[in-house]
Amino acid sequence: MKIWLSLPVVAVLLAGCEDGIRPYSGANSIIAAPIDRGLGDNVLTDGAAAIVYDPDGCQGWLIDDGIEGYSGRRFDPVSGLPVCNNLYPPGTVIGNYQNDPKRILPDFVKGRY
Amino acid sequence: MRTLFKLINAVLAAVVLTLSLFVANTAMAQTSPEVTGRVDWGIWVDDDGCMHWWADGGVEGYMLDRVNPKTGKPVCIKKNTCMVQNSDQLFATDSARLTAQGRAYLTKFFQQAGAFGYGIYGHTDARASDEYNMNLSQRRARAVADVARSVGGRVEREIGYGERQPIAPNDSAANMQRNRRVEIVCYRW
Repeated sequence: MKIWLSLPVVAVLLAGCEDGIRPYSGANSIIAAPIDRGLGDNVLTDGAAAIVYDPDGCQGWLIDDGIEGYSGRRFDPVSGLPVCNNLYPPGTVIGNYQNDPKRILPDFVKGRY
Repeated sequence: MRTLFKLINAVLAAVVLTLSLFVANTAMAQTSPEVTGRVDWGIWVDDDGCMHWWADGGVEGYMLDRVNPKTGKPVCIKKNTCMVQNSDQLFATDSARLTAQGRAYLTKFFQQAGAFGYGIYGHTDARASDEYNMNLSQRRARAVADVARSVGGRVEREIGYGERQPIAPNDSAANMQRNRRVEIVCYRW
């Protein structure tokens, strides 16, 4: 008999081995921290992100560290204005979005929906 | 009698104040939110030099663009200002017409920069009026942007900030020269 585990289940099992996650325990819980203990101690590498277009034609940063995803706005560092040019259709991802120097799992993406 | 009246007035005022504070406290207690946990934020710096707060939630990830609380603008360390040139090297004093040297320098720059887009910003020192400087820096930004376009560059914005974004106090010839500048941001993939 084959047992298929979903990616989140595998992640929880692996992460659990290293005390990377624990059950919620009230107001003193640390909901999130700037380190990923799930699959080795990873922090995000500065500058490593893909660009994603939003439905307004503006760019954002897109990062996948193996299990989690992050996104933030792209700004012009002098004027603080967003970078919006509709050069690609909404949703287009450009460049390497994987920010995980110790990648263990291959990336899984969304199935048909 | 007058003193007694004053005393009653004062007592009444105190009672009203206490009551209103009590009501306000009760209202606050009713609406005070429940703390459910804590996030320890770290900093991630993007390739343009702008900062984002990030934190790993075990299975989820979170990211917030860092902004200046006073201006609402993003907080950037400007490492992607791919050219800052002193205006004296590009233009004659008070002029938005490029010198031959300035044009050659910019043409070469835009041919080699290889960005998909540019943000071009003009700045002046604080001599002359604010209005004059806004106009001059705008015309200078346009002159630089025209060079970019002439070699196929895509200019996403050209803005003159006049004397409003100094990088040094306007208290010496050397500092004023630093403030007279053209900044170019290169948008790269």
